[in-house]
Amino acid sequence: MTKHLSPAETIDALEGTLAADRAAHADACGTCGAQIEELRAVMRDVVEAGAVPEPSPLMWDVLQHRIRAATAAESPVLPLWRRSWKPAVALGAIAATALLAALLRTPAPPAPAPAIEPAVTVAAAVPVEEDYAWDLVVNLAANLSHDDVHDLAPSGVASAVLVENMTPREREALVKLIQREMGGLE
Amino acid sequence: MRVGADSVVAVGWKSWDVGMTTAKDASESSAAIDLEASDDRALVSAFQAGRREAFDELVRRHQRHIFQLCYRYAGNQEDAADLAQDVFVRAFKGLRNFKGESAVATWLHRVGVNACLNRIAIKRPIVEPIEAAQHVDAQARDPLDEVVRGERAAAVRAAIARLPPKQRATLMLRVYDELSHDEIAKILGSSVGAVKANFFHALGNLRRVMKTKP
Repeated sequence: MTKHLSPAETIDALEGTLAADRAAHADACGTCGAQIEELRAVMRDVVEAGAVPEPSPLMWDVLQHRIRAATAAESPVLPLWRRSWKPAVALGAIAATALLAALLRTPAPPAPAPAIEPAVTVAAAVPVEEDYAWDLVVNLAANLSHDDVHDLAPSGVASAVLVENMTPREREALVKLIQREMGGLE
Repeated sequence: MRVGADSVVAVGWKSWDVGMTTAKDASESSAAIDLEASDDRALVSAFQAGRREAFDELVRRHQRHIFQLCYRYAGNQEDAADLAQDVFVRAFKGLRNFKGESAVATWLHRVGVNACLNRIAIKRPIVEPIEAAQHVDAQARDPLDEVVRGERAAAVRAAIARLPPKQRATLMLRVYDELSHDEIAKILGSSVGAVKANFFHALGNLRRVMKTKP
């Protein structure tokens, strides 16, 4: 013998939606069948009790009057701020998205230049007093005026920008050049 | 409507929902339209355009159904009238945003069900005495039979009023509002299985109570 109907299955049976195999059980089982019939009778009573007695004809006018009084202070039209907050939010969202997109499009700052290893250690190797190149620089510099120095030397900013904008190959070439130049001094 | 059961007889508002014509663009001439001749959607458009009388017309059309809905939950005419008033005040506020995605009647019914369910959560209904609820029609079948049926209906209403809130809500939504188990589950925030179990226990409790009645 199969199991009795669960509460949910009993409701399905009452509403005619029970699966066929379980419906076969309900048909064969006296207990389940009796329960379904009892609940069906209760359901009929509930349906019948749903009929609402007709109120006094005056009640409708009274109800309308009460509703009119209760809504007298309200306006049928939504206040402006409640009507326009959605478009305003939408516009704000669009503006924020556009701003974000513009920010994301600006090129990222260049990656930090690879650290350049100190190319030379010459300074430690040759004492400055014995360095003829240094002697030459000192003599030449002694003949230069302040204005000449200013005109000849690239500004610090300009040189920094030049170095920063170099490609890796250019940087490598520069390092080799400096190394060679420094090596030539040894 | 949605209830497929042969045993669940509709008591209700099917016929009341019939006759809603399709929406027409009432905004163009909301001030000029004849309210009584307008369909519900045209009334809503007129209302949204600022014509308060359009809402009065909606109240006139739907108050009977809403009152009946409220009566089943409230159990007496006085509370039902209060509840119906509350439903229409909510509707007044809600109609300003009504987009017409459902028939006005359906939407109003939902507003009513929500208000009634809130009430269930707040207050146990005071069921009207049999004398007040009973209206014997001397022209009807058998007056004595009518009296007996009226007494029986009042006893059932009183028994329903004593059910635990969730069982009562489930029973009302299923039998009187004809909602599917799935819809009831969504409204009450439970599973379909729980809804069926609540419905089963509601009917079982009513059977026990009614057995003790003569």
